[in-house]
Amino acid sequence: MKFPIYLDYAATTPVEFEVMKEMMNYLTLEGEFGNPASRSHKFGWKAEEAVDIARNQIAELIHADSREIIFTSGATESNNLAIKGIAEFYKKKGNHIITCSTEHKATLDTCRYLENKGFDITYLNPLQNGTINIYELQEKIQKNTILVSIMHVNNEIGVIQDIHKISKICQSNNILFHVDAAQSIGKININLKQLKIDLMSFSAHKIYGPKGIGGLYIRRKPRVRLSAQIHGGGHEKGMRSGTLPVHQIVGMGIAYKIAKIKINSDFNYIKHLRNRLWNGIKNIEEIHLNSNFENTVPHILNVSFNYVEGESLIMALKNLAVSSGSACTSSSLEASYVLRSLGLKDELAHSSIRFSLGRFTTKEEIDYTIQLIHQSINRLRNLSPLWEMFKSGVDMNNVNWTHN
Amino acid sequence: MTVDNNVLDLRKLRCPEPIMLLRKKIREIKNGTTLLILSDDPSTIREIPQYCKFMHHKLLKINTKDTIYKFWIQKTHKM
Repeated sequence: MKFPIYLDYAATTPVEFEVMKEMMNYLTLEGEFGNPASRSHKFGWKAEEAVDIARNQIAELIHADSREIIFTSGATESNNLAIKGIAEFYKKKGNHIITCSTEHKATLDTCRYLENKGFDITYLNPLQNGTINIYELQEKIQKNTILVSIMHVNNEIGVIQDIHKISKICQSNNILFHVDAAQSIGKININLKQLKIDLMSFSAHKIYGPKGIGGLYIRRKPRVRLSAQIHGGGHEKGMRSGTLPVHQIVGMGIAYKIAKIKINSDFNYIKHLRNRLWNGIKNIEEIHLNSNFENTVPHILNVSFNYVEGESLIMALKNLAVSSGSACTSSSLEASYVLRSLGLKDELAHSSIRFSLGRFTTKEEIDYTIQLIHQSINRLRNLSPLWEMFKSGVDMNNVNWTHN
Repeated sequence: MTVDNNVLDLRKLRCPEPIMLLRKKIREIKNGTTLLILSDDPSTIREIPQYCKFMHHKLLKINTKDTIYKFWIQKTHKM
């Protein structure tokens, strides 16, 4: 067993060996290092062939047409391109966008930016299980609504939104629907031939591909139009200029090809490990499950340990690479906005830990994790005056804390 | 010239789509197979011969006199 044990697969994943091996063929003089936009020599045409193969591998995973895939630097850029691009292109039609308060910051910050530009944004509050209220969505639709942007799987709690139902509502109201699928692609089956989704953001590094590369699916029929956000050369049908990083694209293609083969076996294997982890810790006193198993991906297990401070727990679990809140915000000590949106009190939100499992997680690592959590929680609670008060029967909700 | 029931109709498509679909089709067919391509995009007059040259496939015949261009390609290079 190698320490620290990596249980932060929702933040990023190691690349598959096959991915790394294939990427190496597109970097040096011995390989196909050309610029795919070069039309006057073999190097360019060979590089473009590699890009085309990868584009098809990605399209096959989500049952799309390869012509509907645009390469970007990752899901953050894809979200920006989708939301800003639609807002700009369709602003004559309307200026109202609907999203959810538990979206990734890439969506929320983009929407805040558009608010400053005069757009009207509605932030839906999720139900207690993390899903959006479908009836509330229907109520919030206005005549000037142009876009609904909802993530498929939440990066902190793993809840799966019913994108099929949402897409039906959008379709019947003639509204475009954007899905952030960074945490779901390659983990749960997505069939864009059956789903009426107009735009979908995704990434490579969440499914054993390289960092710095992602994509945006843009529906071809009926055609979805958007305004480019990066200009200079008209690459990617003019929607995203910039020389294509062939080695990263090739890596992404291989990762998606592997994901297509392993999607079901990965799901079952990780579900088994997640259940093992939960069964090993669920009897700890005052533990709260923040991920509803009925409606979540098995890769993410989010729990709160009452009367234990989150940062202390992270320090105590230094042999585990886990997260308290999402990777983008874990540098700030503010309680997770996602958990607070679900109605969790600040203390519980602060004491939350996200365990995210992956393809390379082992049974031995899970068993070690269970043992370490038990030891750490016991030790930290023995040092906690709050735990002592709770155990001696004090009603912690009615304590009147005074500051001298 | 015999075409092994392989016709790739690229009419009404514009750059870069014709080459994208040609690449995909070439990857799918067997080595030695002849493919007839139909196109009405002027860019293909330049692009398809270049594709054949640099990707090592045989451009057997071209007809660009009519409004619908015809290209006969034989897959000769193992992808």
